[in-house]
Amino acid sequence: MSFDAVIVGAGHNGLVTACYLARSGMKVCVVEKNDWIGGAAVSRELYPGFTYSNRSYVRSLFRPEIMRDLELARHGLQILPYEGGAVFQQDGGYLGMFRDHDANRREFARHSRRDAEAYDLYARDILRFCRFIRPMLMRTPPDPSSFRPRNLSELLWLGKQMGALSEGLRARMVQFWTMSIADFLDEYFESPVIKGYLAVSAIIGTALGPMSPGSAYVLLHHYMGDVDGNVGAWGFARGGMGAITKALTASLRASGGEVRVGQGVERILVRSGRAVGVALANGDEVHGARVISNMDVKRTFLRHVEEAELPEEFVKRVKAFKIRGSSGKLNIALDSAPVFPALPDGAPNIKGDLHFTDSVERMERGYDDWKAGQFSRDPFQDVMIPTMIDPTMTPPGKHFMSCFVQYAPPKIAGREWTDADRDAFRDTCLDQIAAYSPGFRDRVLHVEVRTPRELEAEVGLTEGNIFQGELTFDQLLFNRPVPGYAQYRSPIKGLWMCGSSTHPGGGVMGAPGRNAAAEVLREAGRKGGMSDAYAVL
Amino acid sequence: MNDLTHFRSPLMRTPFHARTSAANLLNRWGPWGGYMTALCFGDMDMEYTAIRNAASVYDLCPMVKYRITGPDAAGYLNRLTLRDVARLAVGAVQYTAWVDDAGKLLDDGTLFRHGPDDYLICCQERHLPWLLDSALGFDVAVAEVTEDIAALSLQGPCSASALGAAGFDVSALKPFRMMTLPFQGGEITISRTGFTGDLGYELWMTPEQALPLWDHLFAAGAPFGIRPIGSDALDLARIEAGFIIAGTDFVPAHHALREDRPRSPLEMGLGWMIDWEKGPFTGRRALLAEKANKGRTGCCWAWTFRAMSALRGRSSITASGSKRGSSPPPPGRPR
Repeated sequence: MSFDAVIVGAGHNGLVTACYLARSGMKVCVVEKNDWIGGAAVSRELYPGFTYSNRSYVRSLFRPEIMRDLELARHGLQILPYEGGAVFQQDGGYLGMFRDHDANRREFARHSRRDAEAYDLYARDILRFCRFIRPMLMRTPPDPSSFRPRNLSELLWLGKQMGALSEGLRARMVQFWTMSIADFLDEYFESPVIKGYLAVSAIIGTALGPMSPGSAYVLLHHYMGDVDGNVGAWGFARGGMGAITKALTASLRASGGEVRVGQGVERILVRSGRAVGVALANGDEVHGARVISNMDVKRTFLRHVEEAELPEEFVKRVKAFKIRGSSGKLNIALDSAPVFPALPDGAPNIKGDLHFTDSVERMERGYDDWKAGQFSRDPFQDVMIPTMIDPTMTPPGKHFMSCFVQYAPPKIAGREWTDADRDAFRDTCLDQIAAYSPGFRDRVLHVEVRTPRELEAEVGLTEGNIFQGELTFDQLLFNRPVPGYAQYRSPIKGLWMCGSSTHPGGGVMGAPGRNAAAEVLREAGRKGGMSDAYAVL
Repeated sequence: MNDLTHFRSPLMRTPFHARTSAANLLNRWGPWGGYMTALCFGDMDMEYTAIRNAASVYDLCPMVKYRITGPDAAGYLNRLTLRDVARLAVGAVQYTAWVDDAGKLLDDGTLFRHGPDDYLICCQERHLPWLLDSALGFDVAVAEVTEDIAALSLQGPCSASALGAAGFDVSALKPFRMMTLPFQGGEITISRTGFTGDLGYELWMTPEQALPLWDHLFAAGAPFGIRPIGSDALDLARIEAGFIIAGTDFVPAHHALREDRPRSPLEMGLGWMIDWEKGPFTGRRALLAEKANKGRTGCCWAWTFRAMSALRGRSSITASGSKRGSSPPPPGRPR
């Protein structure tokens, strides 16, 4: 039996592509090496009664157009906004976040009156950048070296977007795309802890420090999503992040698509320069008119395609693609709710993102360790307790805690991670939390530790980079992943890319998968029930 | 302020809250500048009528206040705002506005000169970073003092009589002037200013004086039909008078997501307040250019805005040039 499309990898993007193609009437098969579906948007029960968000842990970027097109709500997906958040300071104080604008202003004013009133201007500027960038998420990047009418019209559209801005804003935006978040925040704020909080979004998933040029854009990448039209807001998927891929799978099956788990792709089969299917680890072959890879660009072309099938220049560019791992993850089952004495009794801040890095400088010092090939001795952690809002993930009174940790290098001083390294990494993180939460260790029932080694081995993310390639300006838009191949195609006919290595990049966004499907359908002359992107700003 | 319990009371209470909450029969509150504000105490029509017929009291505490002091204060404010601050005498008040470098409105407000080097700005929006950045090169201190000053607006034809009965003789006080008067061992400041277009005064005091003054004023004002009013009634009166509010009638430049949303004072009918001859001020070059271009864009915008405002049933902004403008029929005026 031959399929119209074989999709390699059942991550969220692969499933999004599969869903759209199946809806157009194509025969679709998704093959997945793990026994479970979901890639990095996965929820597994590793401790009885506890559902984890094992890899990705919050949701904002996932495009609402996709949720509607694929009827994900009907298939069980529910997004819950969250409130709160706090940075704990070394001196025992804290900076809290509040959803109420004025409460938040008063809280900022506790640290700096000027910063409290500067926040509005900062928010305005960031929203202006979001307003510019959001319409690009759901469009195939134009190829500036091509004269095909569609490329020209897309380039023209891009130029028009730029032209609609004032000279000042245009200059400011280009500056923002290329500068460091530390420099950017210095222009608005003076309080170290406020800057420390706001810089977080610029380093997550990125092998850059807050003082590295290019980090400011990464912040935008984390601000351009929304929860029900509330731009910049983040939320939880009810039942864990796996609920997203679960709903996608249900939607795919409802339109006749198929997912095969437990057998990874060994080789992408190429005959006469054309992809014709995949060979699985157990020797089986799955044939299809096209192969669409949800794996990152390095894994796809350097490990599963014969190098002889590819142009030299392409291989060179793929090898040069920056995909450095920078983060790890702790998933913790807790017997009871942790207590943070710095917070007043009953404060809602514990329901949001909790941090212990109270200045940009400390964050940068953490990055220094990464440069030296070590995990940070004083790491940055983005700690969330989704069960504070979503009671479905654990037994009543128990909690699931997700700790995103940065920085963790792909290799420890040039050698592979060992189990001893992993345990030391775990203890460093737990100690940091326990320093602000007395009795924390006694509440711990189970810890899943994921360093870049496990992220690569399990999810298949090269070097453990969560974005399938860094989100620096040299690797965006028509340069993502490789100049000339930003339109989801590859040098091999019939071999496509749909993962986060492609435009517009990582996060549980689904846009790469949707855009890839749009290109496949366009070339096949089909329609996939794809609605146009809409604007909320 | 700055207790660590914003989550328990996201909206702050003004120093008058003990009295306003007791008087708020409907328990109708709305947020204003981070404070709980009465929208209506019991009957909007009667509250409006108090403004136009008797004496009305409105809690002004949430108004944002900045104190500007220092030897360069006058020069600094002349650079910051549109009107000529040099002409503002000690004890006088100016209705003024300020713009960004592109000549777009940031806010309008009142400027009080308390001493040779001592000014107070009262406005709607928060501007501390802008005010501090604008102070570059000036020997001034800028402080946000919103919570240090409590204020009441006493408006209506009987307001002077009510003040007189309370022992505050304001008969000599001219519009846009202020005076300091003794009150229970301390002092309060009374300015002849307001937001209703009627005879009216604003009373400025310390938060500690707030409740004693309220009680004193209401006791003395009873024969004049004094009553507390909410924002709904005030809104009717200020629209009739043609007074604008930042964030409602124009989008302050620092809040505008879309670059074409901010408005210049010329577009908003505030051109009369610009003193072109006073020397350099922020936005002057842009406003001069706009004035030279006015025939094309300014009128067009103002016209569009006016049409939109009329459709929404708010505001009374006229095409550029006229001072305050004639008012459109007031929306929802008591029948």
